[in-house]
Amino acid sequence: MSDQPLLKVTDLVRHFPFKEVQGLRMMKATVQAVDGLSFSLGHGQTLGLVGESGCGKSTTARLLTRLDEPTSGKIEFQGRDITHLKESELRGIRRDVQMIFQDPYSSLNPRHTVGSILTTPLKVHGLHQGKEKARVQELLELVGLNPEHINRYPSEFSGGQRQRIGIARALAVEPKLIIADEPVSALDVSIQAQVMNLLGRLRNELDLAFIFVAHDLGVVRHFCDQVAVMYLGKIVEYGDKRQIYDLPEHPYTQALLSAAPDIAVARGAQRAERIRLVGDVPSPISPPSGCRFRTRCWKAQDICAEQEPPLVPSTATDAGRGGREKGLHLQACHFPEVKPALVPEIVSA
Amino acid sequence: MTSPFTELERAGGSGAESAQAAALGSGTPSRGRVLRVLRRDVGAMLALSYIVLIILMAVFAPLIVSVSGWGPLEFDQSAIDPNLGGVPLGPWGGISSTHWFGVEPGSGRDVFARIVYGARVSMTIALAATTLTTLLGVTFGLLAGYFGGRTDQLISRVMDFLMAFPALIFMIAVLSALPAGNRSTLLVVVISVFGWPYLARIVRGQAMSTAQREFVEAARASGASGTAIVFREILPNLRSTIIVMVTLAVPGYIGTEAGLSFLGVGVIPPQPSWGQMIASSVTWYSVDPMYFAIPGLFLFLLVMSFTVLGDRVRAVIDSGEAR
Repeated sequence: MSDQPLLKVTDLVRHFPFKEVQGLRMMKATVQAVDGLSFSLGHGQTLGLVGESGCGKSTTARLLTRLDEPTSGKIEFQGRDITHLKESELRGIRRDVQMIFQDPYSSLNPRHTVGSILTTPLKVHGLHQGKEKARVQELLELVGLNPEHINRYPSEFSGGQRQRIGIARALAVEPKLIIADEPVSALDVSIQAQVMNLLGRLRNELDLAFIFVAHDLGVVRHFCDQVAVMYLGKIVEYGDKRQIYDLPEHPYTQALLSAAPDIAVARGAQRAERIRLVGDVPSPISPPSGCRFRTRCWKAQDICAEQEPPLVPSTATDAGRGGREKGLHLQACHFPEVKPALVPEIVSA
Repeated sequence: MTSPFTELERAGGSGAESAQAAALGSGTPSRGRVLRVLRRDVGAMLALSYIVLIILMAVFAPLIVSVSGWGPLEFDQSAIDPNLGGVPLGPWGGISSTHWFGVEPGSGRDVFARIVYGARVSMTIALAATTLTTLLGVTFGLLAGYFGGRTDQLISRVMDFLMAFPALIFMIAVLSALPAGNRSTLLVVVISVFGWPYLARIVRGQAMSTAQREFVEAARASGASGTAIVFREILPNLRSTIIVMVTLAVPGYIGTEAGLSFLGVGVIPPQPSWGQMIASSVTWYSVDPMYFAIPGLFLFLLVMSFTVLGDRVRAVIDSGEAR
């Protein structure tokens, strides 16, 4: 296998233009949902996209599956440029890239049986012709559902079971890459764990690459190899899971991690210093000049308003910190600073 | 990867989930539920029985007429009084054991036979017009709602035009100007052309909101084509709306057909229709009110039955979806 990445994204931009009436004038404005995203993903790797709501995570997911068309930038899948392919040319990509949706109540058509929902992608791509039913039962078994439930309607299942059906649908066409848009955030915590374990098992068994969009840092830590932290349409820090969680350098990442609930603290341990962010996320219609995070950053200086900090290798990498630093660790702050281990490891049994 | 949750998954399996599912109750397959609720509804059942009765009457018209003894086009001079300008002999417009609903003043044709055959005209035209409007309305509504943009602009402007158009005047003009070849077909076409936008407008709105649901995205992500999404994913979700709209459209078209026949541009005599009978009863209402009352009552009951049924079906479906 060549060392060509499975997915390569360069400078991805999605702006939503809209018109706004101000007095008697019609103003044109744009929501800069995603503004210059670059990353790449290898076969079988898992990238977590984290950030608070409205930072462009879901838009990114829709762009990567080409449910939406980017304003500019480039998406390459297995070396092929798929940025502006027409719907008819996308068929092949639709087989290799699948999506798991956030809301299991909205993502399954209530008028179709499970069998029919899972057969549709097989028919579209002409897979397992004549043996669709066997394949559907195999899929149900794969995701831990009873194959005999093939003729039931989605309303006869619970949220977790529905999400399993959604996962089975994504797996039906044997994709190489799965984009999961907050696949567990609509589920109960106990069910979340089951679904996450299912995804982990499937990833290992089927050698899938994942892009995992989430706002739950714990889930991402449990599941992902690489993590990209997004803020207002941009990546502010990117790196290996350990680097991001143990040695975050960007103040936003540090703030996010310090806000995550912490089992050790609940057990009475001393809580690491909690960083409280003030104010709301600025509007993506007119993001702040320079560094987008500066309006809420406690380290902000004049330079932050004037110059946009580029995504550069982290100071820790430069310093060559022991053997822990492997792989790329990028951050976009003028004043990066290591603040180690804000969140203790989840205690494994 | 060691996982803190493995135990949970193994132990819980789908046990916890299926308990949750059981608590939710097994819902959807709604057809059975709608019928079950309707069966307990006296009004809906009465309406349905009347509709079935009229349909049977229309289907078996020749048979029924052969039993009653008089065809719709047979003149019975013995049943009218030629000295009084053709007023039916006997009380209540000549109701007797030979003429069950009396006779038509002036000609002596059997009113029962004409009602039975008139039901054919009313039902055929109303059902055909409903089928055609539903086809047009659903198709254009779905296309406009799902594809949006230019398709929507075009279809919506045509709908606006047709809805703003003085349809009744146009229908009268067209029907009286065109050669009276096959009036029934012409009626169906004219009624449908002006009728479909009312359904299409509602279907369009519903299609727009359904298109926002994630299962439509999921179908796109699977590579399904636009038309497949429209007809396989969206259409089944509009089923209840369409059923309601259709049951409410039928009485409207029955009324329209009767109205046009009343105005003299409906089916051509001597073929009987209820609207035409009401029209010809106008000159006789003071001496023979029954000739007006009988077709009027049949028409009234039929329109009311469809309206009641449509309304009850809507209520049941709405309450089911609100649940």
